[in-house]
Amino acid sequence: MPYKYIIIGGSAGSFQTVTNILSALPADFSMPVFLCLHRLKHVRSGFVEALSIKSNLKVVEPNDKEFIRQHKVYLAPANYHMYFELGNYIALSTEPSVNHSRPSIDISFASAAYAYKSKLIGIMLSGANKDGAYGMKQVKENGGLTIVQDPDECQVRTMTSAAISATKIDHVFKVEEIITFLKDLYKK
Amino acid sequence: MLALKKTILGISDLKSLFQSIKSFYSDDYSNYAISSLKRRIEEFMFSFHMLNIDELINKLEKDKTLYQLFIDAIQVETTEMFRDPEFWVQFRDLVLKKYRYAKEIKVWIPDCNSGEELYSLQIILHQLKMNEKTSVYVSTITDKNVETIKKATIDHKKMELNIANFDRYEEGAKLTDYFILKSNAALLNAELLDNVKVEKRNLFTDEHQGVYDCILYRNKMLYYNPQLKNEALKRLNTSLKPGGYIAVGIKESVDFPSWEREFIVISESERIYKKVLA
Repeated sequence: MPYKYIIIGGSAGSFQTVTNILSALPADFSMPVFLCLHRLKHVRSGFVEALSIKSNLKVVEPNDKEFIRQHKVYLAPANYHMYFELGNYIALSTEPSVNHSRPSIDISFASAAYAYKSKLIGIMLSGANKDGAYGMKQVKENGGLTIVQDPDECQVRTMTSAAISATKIDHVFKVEEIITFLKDLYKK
Repeated sequence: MLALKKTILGISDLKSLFQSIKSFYSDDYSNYAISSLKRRIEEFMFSFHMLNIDELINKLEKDKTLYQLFIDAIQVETTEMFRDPEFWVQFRDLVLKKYRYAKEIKVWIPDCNSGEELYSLQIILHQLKMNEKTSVYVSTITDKNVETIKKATIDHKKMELNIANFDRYEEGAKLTDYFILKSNAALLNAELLDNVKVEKRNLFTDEHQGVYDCILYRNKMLYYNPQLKNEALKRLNTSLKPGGYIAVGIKESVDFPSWEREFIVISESERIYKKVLA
């Protein structure tokens, strides 16, 4: 299997979609999944718990320098940017917001693209600003696979449309198709 | 006009850059956390229209002023006061209040790039009426930071978030009571900094043994690699009095054996630790 890591970005209107994807992935789905979702800066708790309810995989908000393990979902913590170091661990930062966002999807996607190159799948979901478009471009330029949720299906289409205009997208999928794609990947 | 493309640096680019800086200016960046530092260097190059690493290296070697700007650009400032309000509540209740009847107390904020953590602390000390007996030492690595921290001026734009954080720290309390409001910025009341000494000093080269009762070191080690992080913790430990307290960022872990032997967890969620008495 050529792909080893999945990164998912989303903002307004993406929570339900993320929950659907996580609940569809089987417990022995081995690829680490990174989630960079826009969220309230000052609300530290509750998000992991909400995502965990239906997930078969363990969802964590990593500490800085936490090693990346298989069978785990890593959610970017509130008010930190999430980067990926070449030693296969996560690095957090309190640098200023990017695209009014911390965590910024551009930062996480660009960093993952740099670290994982063609082993990465980048998935962009519903959202209300253009954060993530540059990141998706980086995923593509580093040889990764780009998937965007069909803007017609998104509650807010700004983010997916911006990604589509920023770079060549490999697949524009409905949520169900994203899920099927990931499950097929796992079967192979 | 052709849009300038952001240069993406490779690991070998960064290695040559760090080597050159080390030989020219004796500063060592090789143990910083690479992923975020790489982005800040790329942003710096972009803002100065530099296209490749050789251009950056050549210009830095020739131009000391540019190197100063480079240092300013790659440091990370704290962006808000009362970040993690729950931390400040616990730091007040579980740490500062323990020193209520102490004669004097010494607090250190090392590697301080901007003053937000300091101003938050000073307001709490004022609330506890502990300013006079507390000496606060702030160290930073550039003259520019010393000036910025002493100036204690915050943009109105940033104040909104600070005010919201402060209200979460203490409902109904007004942060603006501690500031003089100017047309485009807020100025911290000067008397709040009477007990503060800001100095240019490097954590990794200047040693102070067993001097401080409390050390605030939040979100600093994020920018170090594991090796430098351990080195920083070792130095902080040396500077802390037995029985003293240290706080690190809420997403920074210190769970290695030597630390667990020497420190008691005061708050796991807020990362507050107490050094055991010798």
